[in-house]
Amino acid sequence: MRKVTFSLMIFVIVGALLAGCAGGSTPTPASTEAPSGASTEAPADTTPATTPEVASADGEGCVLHILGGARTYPGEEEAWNQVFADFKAQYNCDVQARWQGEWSDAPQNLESARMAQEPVDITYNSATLNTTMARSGVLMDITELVKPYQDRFATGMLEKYTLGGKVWAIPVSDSSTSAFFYNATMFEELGLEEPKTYADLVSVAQAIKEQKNILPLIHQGKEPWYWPMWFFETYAQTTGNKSIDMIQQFLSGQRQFTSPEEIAALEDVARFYQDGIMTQESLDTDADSMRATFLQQKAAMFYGGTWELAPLREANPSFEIGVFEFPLMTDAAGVVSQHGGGPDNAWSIPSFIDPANLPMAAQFLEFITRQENATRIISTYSPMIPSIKGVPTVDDPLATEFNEQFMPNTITFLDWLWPNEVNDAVMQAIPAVLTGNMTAEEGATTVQDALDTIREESEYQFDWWTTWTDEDWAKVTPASIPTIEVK
Amino acid sequence: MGLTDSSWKKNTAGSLPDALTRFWGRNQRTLIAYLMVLPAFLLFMGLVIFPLFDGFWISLHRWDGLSEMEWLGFKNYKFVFGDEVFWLGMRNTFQFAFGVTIVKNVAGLFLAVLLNQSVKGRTFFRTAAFMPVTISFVVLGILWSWIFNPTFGLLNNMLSALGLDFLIRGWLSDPKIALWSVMWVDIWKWTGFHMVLFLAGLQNIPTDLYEAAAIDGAGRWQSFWRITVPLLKSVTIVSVLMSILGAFVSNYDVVKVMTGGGPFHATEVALTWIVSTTFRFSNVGKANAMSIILFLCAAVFGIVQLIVTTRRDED
Repeated sequence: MRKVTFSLMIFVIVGALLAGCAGGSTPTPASTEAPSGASTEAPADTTPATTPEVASADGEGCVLHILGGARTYPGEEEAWNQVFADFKAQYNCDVQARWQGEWSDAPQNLESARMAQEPVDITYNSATLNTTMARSGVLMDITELVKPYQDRFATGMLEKYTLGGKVWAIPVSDSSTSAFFYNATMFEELGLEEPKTYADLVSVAQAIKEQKNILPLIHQGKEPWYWPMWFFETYAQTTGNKSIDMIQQFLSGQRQFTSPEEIAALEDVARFYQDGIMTQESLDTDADSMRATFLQQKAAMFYGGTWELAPLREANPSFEIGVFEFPLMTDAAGVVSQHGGGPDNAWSIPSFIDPANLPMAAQFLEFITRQENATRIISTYSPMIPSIKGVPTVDDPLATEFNEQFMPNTITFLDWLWPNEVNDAVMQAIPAVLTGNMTAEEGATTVQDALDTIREESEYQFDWWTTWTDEDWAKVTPASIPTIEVK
Repeated sequence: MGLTDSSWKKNTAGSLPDALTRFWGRNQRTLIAYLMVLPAFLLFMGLVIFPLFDGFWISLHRWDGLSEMEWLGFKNYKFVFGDEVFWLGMRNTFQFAFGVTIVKNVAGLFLAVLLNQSVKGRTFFRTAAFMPVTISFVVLGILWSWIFNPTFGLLNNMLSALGLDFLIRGWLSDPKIALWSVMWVDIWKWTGFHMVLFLAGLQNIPTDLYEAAAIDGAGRWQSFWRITVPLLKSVTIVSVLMSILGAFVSNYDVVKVMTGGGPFHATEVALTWIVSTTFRFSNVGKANAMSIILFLCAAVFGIVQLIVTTRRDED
């Protein structure tokens, strides 16, 4: 008997060890009601009526709860606290922020809060997460709430958070683009010009290796998120600058990822490794190591986003940095180098917000987009391309170059369009193709398989909003639109 | 039963407390024992058993962790069986568990035998060997990531300084050796722990056995194989099973910190893929199905451990 009891105990203990790995959170009551009666566009009758529910200046006892990832920029949390204090002074409403986890934890933190019935009135969002969160119905459609002040956003910024014609978040951030960063002093010393074509880049890399015996380029390959950025650039060129359209076709099932353009794009990325521009060191280098390798002049170039500039400047303000666009890898007429980018810090209202708090939450979103408040927050990011008009850019000569030269050729990061499963397949395939562990065709097949898998397992649909019923829309649409003060 | 209401009341009036008192008197020790266990039992049920069954329940649904759950039956299990990365992760999990178990135990035994001798600085060396056990995997993972760093790393720079450039590798980026590099960190951390287990076992072996063997002409090697190894059998079994089970279900943090499962899933273990499936892909139902499968595999080791340890107790 003792043996049996002991057996059961061991069985249970092993189970206990694993139970925690399963994300075993208490589910909401299951509903098998699948979206039916699909419409091809968002129903017009879900637009709520405007009510005279003004965010009162006398918000006695009012508390707004914000949930977001830990603030990472120096001074950012203090800037937010100042904005909270000003909001309190103006609207008599306390703002309590819970900065928790990384940016990518936002969906699970929001869900945990919902299940624990913790109040959340404003939640962090990012363009990478926006599709997943909006599709799941956890975000409120804030189109009508934002309308009174939508002209505050710089061109194209709000569109990054618009899906199915509805706005799901507002970006209060710096927008990014991608570039090659180089050691300007070293280039000058070696008499090197900024490369325009891939052949130029090969020559430059060769000269650096021969004359300096250092790595021509270092990439933060240990951070898998950054591998797809290479593909965004090469794919823009192999598709004749139609990468967004073609990816949308792929995600809609009208195109296979194993098509010649995708394979050619993967092969183009692999050329950087085969031609010795990128080396084995890049495969095992994280963000800090990449910056250290560059600043210690063990590598002459790196490829990354504009967000890399602030930490470099902070680490060594006197280091001369130059930037150039991703080189042209094709002779095809009319094709230009296009770079991934966009505003990546945004704020949403959860669909499960206490309706009594909606007026003040809507007012808060308006408040943080006012120029003085947006400046206070965004300035901590050393902004190059602010998402809100009138917010000054950082005093850096490269800011002008990015705005004038790079921004016209900046397109949405493709991983803002495709789901995480596809992104994971791309980020795994690229280093495998690069190092010859996989052919470009095999790499492309894994990406296609990833999409096919989620179609079957999760019923993935790119344009999910076309299948939502009126009932689905009602769950995410404010019952009434509060009137807010727009200053 | 032939009793009217009033007669029943009369017959039982005052007898219930008496019955309870008698019951308490007869079973006092047992009842107190159950009461003492009750709080822990409730916690165990609430924090372990319920989540386990809840996990199984979720595995029968399609759920992204945000929207409402949709009943799928056992389809998630079918999806898991078709998930190549999960099975690659399972294979890596087995390789990890068995690889580190062999090396940790052999190295632990070697160190224990060495530090069981009267050598100078024995306490220092014992402490030094045990020190990594006290450091968290996150700290160790970061530390070893820097040691393995291809540009600044101590290891490659040391090899270069020694003129051994042909040995320089991308320790965490070469898919052929990345998993071994991660396993090395687990071995480095836990060898000291197994050394302590073996040391305890060694100190229980009567020295007169070695003296008698020496008189009979046995050398050190013979004594080791004929006396030490057989008498350490029970300690060895416990040590091996503990390390297998431990490595099987607690390899997440070191892999996550050092490689994140890369390069291209070469170091992916079942746990890292389960976490990715849950939180990155928001496929909570399928992730729970994976957890249940992993649980069943781990349970086999648990049952083996149970059988072996209870048999040892009976012996």
